Amino acid sequence: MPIIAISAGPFSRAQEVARLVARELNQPLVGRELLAEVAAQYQAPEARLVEALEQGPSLLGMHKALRARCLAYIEAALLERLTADNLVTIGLAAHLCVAGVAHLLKVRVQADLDQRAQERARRENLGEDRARRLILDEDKRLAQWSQFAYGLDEADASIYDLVVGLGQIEPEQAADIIVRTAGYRRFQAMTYSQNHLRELALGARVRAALIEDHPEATVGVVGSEVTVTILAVRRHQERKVASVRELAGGVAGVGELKVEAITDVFQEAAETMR
Amino acid sequence: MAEQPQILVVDDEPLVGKRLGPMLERLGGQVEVFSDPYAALLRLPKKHFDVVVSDVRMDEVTGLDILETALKISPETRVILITGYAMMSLARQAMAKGAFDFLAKPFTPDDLRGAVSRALGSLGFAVEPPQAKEQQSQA
Repeated sequence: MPIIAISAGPFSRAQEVARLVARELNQPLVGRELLAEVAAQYQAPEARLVEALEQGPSLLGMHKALRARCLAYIEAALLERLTADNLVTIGLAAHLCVAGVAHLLKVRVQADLDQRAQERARRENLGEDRARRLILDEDKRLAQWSQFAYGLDEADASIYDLVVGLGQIEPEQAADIIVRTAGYRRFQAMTYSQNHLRELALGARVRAALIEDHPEATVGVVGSEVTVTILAVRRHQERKVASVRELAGGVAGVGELKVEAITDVFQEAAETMR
Repeated sequence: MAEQPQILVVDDEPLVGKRLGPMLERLGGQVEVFSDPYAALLRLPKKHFDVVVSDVRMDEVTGLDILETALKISPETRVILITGYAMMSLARQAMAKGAFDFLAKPFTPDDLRGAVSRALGSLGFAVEPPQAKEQQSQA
């Protein structure tokens, strides 16, 4: 069975659809509750993790480095779960942060604006006009967030394998369509896609281990062979390479570890001009 | 079903076939290796193969052609495709056309042994899991 990543705008009844899909397939549903585990594992405040998943860029908002750190921790934990189980996931940006995995079925659940406004008005005891305005604002903010964090517009249908509209069908019928699509052979797990997912998970674990001390590091993985590339001025390279070796070398699953230092010529030039 | 599983290996790079052949024989299979995919295509109607392992990207005849022909002749044949040019779209296309598994080069011997063992197991052949075999040979 494939892993199913469900995405939706707020108040689209996607949680209900995700629960139905998970129940039908007898698979666990992994959502925002994973953030409590991430917070405990990486000693990161849960509220910051939520903010990293929702807030777009703003002057007074979350610092870019902190957002990158939070997202790295979430990705590491999420990918770990994805490699361990067949599951359904929602609300953790799997559709944005997991690329090229053939057995990850990316689904967008779409309700029309009136339905969403009615749902929000009902839940929050608001007028429908106000609920509609709030939803439009939130959609705009989420579009900015997904562009900023992953360079993708999460409302763009072309990034999904399946888009299900709830305008004319009930959540049960939407879940049925998703379950049937998940049964197609093209979305089944294969050695290639499982290995690719394991490589992504290992890369994410290494990135999470490095991100506090080496936020600029890029990580490549082939099998268990990990290559970390860092940018540093020549006089700091030896120390930085040693630090990366220590941090990344301790990550479970790392086999051969290569650390490559690229000379930061701009930093060096800036230092000579001081 | 023959007692000994019949395995066909097709790769236009002769060295790959030379390496895969003996590896798959150790799983208990009788293996035929072809570096000429066209010759492999002509061989398929003449003999039943339980498992076909084929490269995807070859001149004139591709692994997808081998897959389609093998399944047309014998729908229960398990076809495993391997490629150095793996992409999600190609992997999905291969699975949709009926591939049993899809591997990207470079793969580990255990990856291929695992895929072939699963394929043979799904046909009712008793195959030791690759790790048990590995442990025995290490012992």
